[in-house]
Amino acid sequence: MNKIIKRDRMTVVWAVLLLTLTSGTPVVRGVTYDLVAGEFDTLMPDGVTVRMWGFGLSGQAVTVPGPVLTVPVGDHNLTINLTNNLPVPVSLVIPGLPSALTPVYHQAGDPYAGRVRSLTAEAAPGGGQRTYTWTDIRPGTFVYHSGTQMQIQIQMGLYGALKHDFAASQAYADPATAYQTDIVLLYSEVDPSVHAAVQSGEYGPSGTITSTVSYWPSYFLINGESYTPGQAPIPAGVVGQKVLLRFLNAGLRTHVPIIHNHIGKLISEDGNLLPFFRDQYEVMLAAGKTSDLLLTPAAAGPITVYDRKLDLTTGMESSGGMLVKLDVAPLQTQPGLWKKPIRNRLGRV
Amino acid sequence: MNNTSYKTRALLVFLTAGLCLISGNAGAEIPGITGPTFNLSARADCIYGGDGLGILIWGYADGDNRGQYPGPTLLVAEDQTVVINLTNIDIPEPVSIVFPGQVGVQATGGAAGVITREASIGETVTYTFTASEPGTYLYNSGSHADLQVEMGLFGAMIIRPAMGQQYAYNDAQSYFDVEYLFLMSELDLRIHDAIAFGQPYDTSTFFPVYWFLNGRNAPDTMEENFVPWLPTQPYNCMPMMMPGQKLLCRFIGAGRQSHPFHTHGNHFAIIARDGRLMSSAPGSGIDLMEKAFSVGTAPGQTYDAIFEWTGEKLGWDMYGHQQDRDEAPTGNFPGPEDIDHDGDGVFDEVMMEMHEYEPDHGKPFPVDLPQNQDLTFGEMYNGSPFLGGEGLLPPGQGGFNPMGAFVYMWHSHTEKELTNNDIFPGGLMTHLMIMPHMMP
Ligand SMILES: [Cu+2]
Repeated sequence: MNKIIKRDRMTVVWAVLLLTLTSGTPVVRGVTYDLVAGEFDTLMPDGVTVRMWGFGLSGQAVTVPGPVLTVPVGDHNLTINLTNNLPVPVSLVIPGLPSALTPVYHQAGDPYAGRVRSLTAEAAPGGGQRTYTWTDIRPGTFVYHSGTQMQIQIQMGLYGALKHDFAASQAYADPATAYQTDIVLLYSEVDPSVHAAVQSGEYGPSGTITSTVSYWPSYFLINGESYTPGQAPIPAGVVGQKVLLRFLNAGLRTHVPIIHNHIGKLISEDGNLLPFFRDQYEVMLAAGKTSDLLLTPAAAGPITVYDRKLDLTTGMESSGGMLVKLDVAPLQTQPGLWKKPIRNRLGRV
Repeated sequence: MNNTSYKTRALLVFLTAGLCLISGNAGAEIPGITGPTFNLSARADCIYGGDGLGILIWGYADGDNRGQYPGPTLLVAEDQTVVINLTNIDIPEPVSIVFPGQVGVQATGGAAGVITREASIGETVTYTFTASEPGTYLYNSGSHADLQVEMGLFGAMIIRPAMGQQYAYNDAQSYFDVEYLFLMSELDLRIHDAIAFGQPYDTSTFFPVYWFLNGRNAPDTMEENFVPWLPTQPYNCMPMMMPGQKLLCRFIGAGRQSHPFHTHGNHFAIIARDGRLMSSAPGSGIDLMEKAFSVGTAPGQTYDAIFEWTGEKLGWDMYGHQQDRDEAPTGNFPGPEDIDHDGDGVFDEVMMEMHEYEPDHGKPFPVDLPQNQDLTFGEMYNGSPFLGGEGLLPPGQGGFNPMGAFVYMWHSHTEKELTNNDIFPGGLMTHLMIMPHMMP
């Protein structure tokens, strides 16, 4: 499976060369990812172990959120080969990116016969495989997640971010969306009692927890992590340069990230370029939503991004939850810190 | 009956004089404390829910005054250098202030916290910034905020533009005649009880049972500012305007929930969000202004909106011109002075009122009013359906609305929030009063 990825990456390289040489010749290009859905246990910062379901690249660990999938500039087609190692059927959908869907219904004999179980075709449990394709991918930031029994599967961790830029280091067709550094910030929550019920087979109509209607998350995650004091900041380029913050909410609740001490420009919602950018210090991030915010830090140092919904706890401990620090490097610093923006300028992220 | 009527009128004149003075003060300016230097403290105190329950809070205070809910409204002018000294009097954990929408806030003193510098009991921390952008802003604790904002450590800040006191921003379209603050918050009683009794609490199970406008539950929202029986909840939320005026609403989401604030009577025009004009580009004015009758104010957001009301399209003359106002209104019958010269169903020959909606001028009231003996009377009914009108009331009925104002409920459209600890009505609700132009 890894070989397929490599072959495809080579194709991308050759296609880029071809496009550069022939300039203007239409070439339909695509990228393929081999994803695996599986389960694992994670240790929360307060010492509680929680069963998670997640996605991973073939041959790599399954994580929550799943890997950030990039559709390279110039590519317009996406293929995902999904292998399902979970005990239940799963599938893949990407809200905002249309594709042909073939819904799956509960079958005759099932007490829920006739009801929709999945938005699209499933990969069978225990190693089943299914291929999903998207064409005409538009620029933007998107959430990919399971399309099967979403009320339980999404909050178990079956989600991740997908991004596609219009041009190298330019998010959308508008040149004002150019950036030097981009950062994915994916928000989600975990209700450990629901996860425990799923793990022990007690989730469902005859179980101890019958639905996610009573959903009381106590872990609030950005990119799968609840903040712990002293946590390493995310490099956010160099002072005065543009940072694109890609906000995604894969959780079930609204969160409102605030950029402490800064004002940004909201440039898009749900992968749609806004006709006029909005000056905002916050992003109203409803469940399922994505929003891109451009930030030009005027000073070097840390920038705190915290949830104004105030989900700032880890279990019952304070100073945790949905808080993250970005680090803006000063101008003319150690060469190591120069590397990232330079690399980005060349489009090789 | 004539005697009663005379007494009512005498009372009316007296009350009118009083109410006009009050409305003249209350509508002119949002109460608060003026900067640019503020000496705030953080301290524990007590507030009263709309049902009378006393609740422990942590509030910001102006100097040595009592802690208040919300904290003092900070009034500053554009381009001032704002200095805020915060001293922790008796909050048993470090406290701080963050200023969403302000850029480059410098913090000194105290100790470093996760988001900003914070003060333990006896310590003072100082925040300094330039008020570079006029607008409506929130300030709140940046320390253990899931608890401290719940406990009440938040407030409003208004930066007035260079253009003048009657403008929200440096744009002519942001002109207003009267302005009101709508700072929304909510309270989970269990957490306050746990803090009061030293018990464990879990802010992730947040389940509020009180919802506030400017720190008060309805019906207290409609009491005067600074009433002595609400010593730690000094601010009311009692919007009043006259037809044709522009009423600026400054909406702030200070709690942890989104509240869809909803106006009756008319839509409003949203002119700014997060202290920034709804504008496509600098210099383009408020070209992205949008109309709405609910604004879903999310936690940390602010909106500015201009509400106007003229009685437009009621379809009848709200002043009751040519209706017989010498007697109690008994229906849609022309009096001797009512002349419909051209027979178009609209009575002619009476002067327009200030800002009257012309197409409805003289249009008769569309229904026959019942006789008094067939009515029950709300306290806001003063015997007449017309703005500024008055009529005979049975003894002991009505009388709370001597100016004959029109009254519209303004409230959270999450109707559950119109309760005080499970008792309806209350919560995040007030009324708009449309006052007649009685004094030039
Ligand atoms: Cu209503």
